[in-house]
Amino acid sequence: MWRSVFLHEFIDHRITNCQALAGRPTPASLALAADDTAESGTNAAPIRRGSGFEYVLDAPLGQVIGVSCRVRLMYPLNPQPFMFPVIRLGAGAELLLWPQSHPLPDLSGTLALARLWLGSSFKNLGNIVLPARRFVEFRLDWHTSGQARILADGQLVAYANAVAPGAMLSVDRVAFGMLNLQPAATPPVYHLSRVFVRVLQRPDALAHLSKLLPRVKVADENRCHARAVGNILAQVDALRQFMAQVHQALSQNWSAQAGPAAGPFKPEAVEAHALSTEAVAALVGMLRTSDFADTARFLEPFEKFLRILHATLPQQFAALAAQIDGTKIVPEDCRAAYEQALNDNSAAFGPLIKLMTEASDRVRAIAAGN
Amino acid sequence: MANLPALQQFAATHGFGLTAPLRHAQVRRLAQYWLPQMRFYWDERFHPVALDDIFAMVEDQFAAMPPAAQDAFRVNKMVRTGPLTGEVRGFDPPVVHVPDGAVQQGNIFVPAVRVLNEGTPAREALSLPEVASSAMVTHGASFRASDQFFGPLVTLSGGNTAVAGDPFLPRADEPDPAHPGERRPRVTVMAALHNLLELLKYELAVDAAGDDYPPDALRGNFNIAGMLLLRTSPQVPPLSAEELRNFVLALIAAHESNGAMPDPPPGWRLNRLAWDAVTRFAFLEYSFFYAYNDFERYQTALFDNEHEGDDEGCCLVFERNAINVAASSSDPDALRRVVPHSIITSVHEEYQDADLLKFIAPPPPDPDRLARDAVDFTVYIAGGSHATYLTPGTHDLVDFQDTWGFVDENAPILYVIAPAVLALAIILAIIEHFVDTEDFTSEEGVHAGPHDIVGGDPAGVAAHVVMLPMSANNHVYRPANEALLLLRSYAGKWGAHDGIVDISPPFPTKTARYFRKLLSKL
Repeated sequence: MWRSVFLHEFIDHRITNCQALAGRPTPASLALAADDTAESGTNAAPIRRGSGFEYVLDAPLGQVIGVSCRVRLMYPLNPQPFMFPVIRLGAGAELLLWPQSHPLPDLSGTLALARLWLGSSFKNLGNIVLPARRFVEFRLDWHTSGQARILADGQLVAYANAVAPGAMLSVDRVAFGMLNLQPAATPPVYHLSRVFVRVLQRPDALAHLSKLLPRVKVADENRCHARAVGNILAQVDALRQFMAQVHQALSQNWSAQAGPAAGPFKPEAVEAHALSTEAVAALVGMLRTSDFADTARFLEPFEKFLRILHATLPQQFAALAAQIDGTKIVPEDCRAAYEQALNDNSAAFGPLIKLMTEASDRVRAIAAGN
Repeated sequence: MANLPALQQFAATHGFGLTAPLRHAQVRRLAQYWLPQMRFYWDERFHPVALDDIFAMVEDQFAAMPPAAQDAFRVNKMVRTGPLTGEVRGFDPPVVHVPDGAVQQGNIFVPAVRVLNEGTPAREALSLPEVASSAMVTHGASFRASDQFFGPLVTLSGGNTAVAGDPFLPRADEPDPAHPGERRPRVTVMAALHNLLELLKYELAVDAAGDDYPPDALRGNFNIAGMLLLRTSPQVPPLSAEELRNFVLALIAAHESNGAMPDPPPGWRLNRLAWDAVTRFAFLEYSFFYAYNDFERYQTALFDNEHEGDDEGCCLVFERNAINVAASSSDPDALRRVVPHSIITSVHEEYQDADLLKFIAPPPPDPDRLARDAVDFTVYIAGGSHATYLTPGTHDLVDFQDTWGFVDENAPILYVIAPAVLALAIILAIIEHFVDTEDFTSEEGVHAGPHDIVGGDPAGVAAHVVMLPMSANNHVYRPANEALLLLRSYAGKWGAHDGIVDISPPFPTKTARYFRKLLSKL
């Protein structure tokens, strides 16, 4: 689960009543007021030119390799022929909408181009429909392996497979609305009834795995812990680069409005996602219950997932497997501590080590073409 | 060790009473009036029960099983048979056990326990001297066992498969007053009123007693004295517990006598916001206790979990002045006209900072209106996790904790699994794609709440409030309430867990947690 950064559900009439990492709203944000109007039908913030909310984090988040933003938005029938910002994370990520100048023929909404600023460039994700009379929850997900997608009420409406692959962001604030535009005495451009931001930082996956395992105590000499962590994270970095190539091979840019009709994902991509999720869910279940009796629940989907990756990019797969396999996570001068930890915990971790060893063997076999 | 006489004596010596000027009968009426409307998820299998049910429902149903079926629901525990030897034995549920060191099994040592209620009622075992924070109550530590004893038998329409609109009914039941001889499902919640100032004062007395105060799950959790002082510079050394306690006691004495406030210790200043909150507010807290958390049944996620014993709840924050005036009014409805300041609900763990606080906008004055006519106090209970929300639908599970700490603290885990770097790196890369975890709440499950609100609801079930009496004229530490004290003061865990990371909970009070949330929003 990615790290929560900011959640505003406009739960009451205090605009500062949000949930967030430690930080504070800027003074200009305090002018925004949430209200339950006839137009919005629920407690929501009307966003006009010059209005919005900016929340500055006490401690900026570094090494951000994924962002997930949700905004519940309603765009009344008053098409504004200018591009406006919806949500921004630091200087590195921003979602903007550029509505067409006329509403849809049935007046149910307006078509708008979703533009994503990521890292240092814009990417057009495609046209999406902004309903005029109800709120729609847009969700923007981006991961440094290059995948970016927009979902509307849970349905995929736009996808791109090579958005800033390898980028790593810093997030010092969350802003929604149009604070940066010249104020104007106009009706609200749109209404927001919910804003939620999550990010993935580079060490987060390791943190989640650590939470599922009992504590192991080993004295930290020569900064062994930090070096071991650095070594494993570097291997995951290499895997992400590989996955960026896989995504580009197994998917294509797509939007619900413009297609292509084949959809964004090849069947292998869908299957690979399902298998990887199934494998890790099974592993998590084993860790939680200590029940390693049926290791096939993890190993089989894990192997099938890897076979899809191997079939997609066999040479790169083999090269990467050899590279990672040859890496010493624990530095040589930390070896004594490593061996001691292994001895001390062999009983408790025996089933897990056996399972991971078996999984590694299967990776090697696949890499070797077996 | 459990020592109810000592708890009772301490309360008598220190003039226990946390609700003045409200007497117990007034508190009870207030709690019954504000009993939240609870909307359960349609697929919910475990509804709130009384602590007593944790024993009675298991014992009654286990006794009613055919002997041949009982074996499958005995609780297997490793118990000591000699200085180094042990064996796994099955015990009739529920079981109360305490740690009993380790015994050798082959080449390894495994933890053993001592079961305290072999052949005797489990509930009585809670009063034994061995029972402390390391004790555990369990009826099997599995979904299968909990479902057997607490899981639903039928849906609203009499079926056995729940769907939206035809939810499972609570398993706990009671005689149906409208249909003699029949029974009806029920939910039970616990309620208590705490004036924060009086609570703090009593907690300071408990703190001063140190280890002389026996384990008591009701005490020790409102440890907010440290929040009342702020350093004037980062270099100021910490205060001792005694210095802090003495200052806060002097502060309380000055407040109660309208005297001059004492000067804070050198290098410290009073946190006026926190002090104002302590003196200004009273919390009406509702606790929902569930036999089992089966969150993992609802999704595939990294955070999902399952365990016995799950305490959740919500809280109404009242201005003390308002309820004090109402309590002494000749208008019998005066207390019911007091509009709460805010609502707080508990959502998963406090460290995730996911709890919700909603300020209540004062409605326009209307002498004929009762407060509840203007305030919607409906809570939506998430399926399985039992997180308590204020709106129906799907809720992203939020978690603001700093996860770097887990990497930092448990980096040595890499030493153990380093040889499998190939699999480890791939697993970590996959984990990066587990973006969310969600809670599911619904309007289409069973509803519970005050009879005059839920009584005519086709999906309504009976709801009862078990009061934790906290008033001077009737409180939980009085001998007459000893049975309740035995359960609620129990400081051990209310559930076991079979996994390698134990997340089964004790049942502390949530007052401090609610206070911290309130303070963060004032």
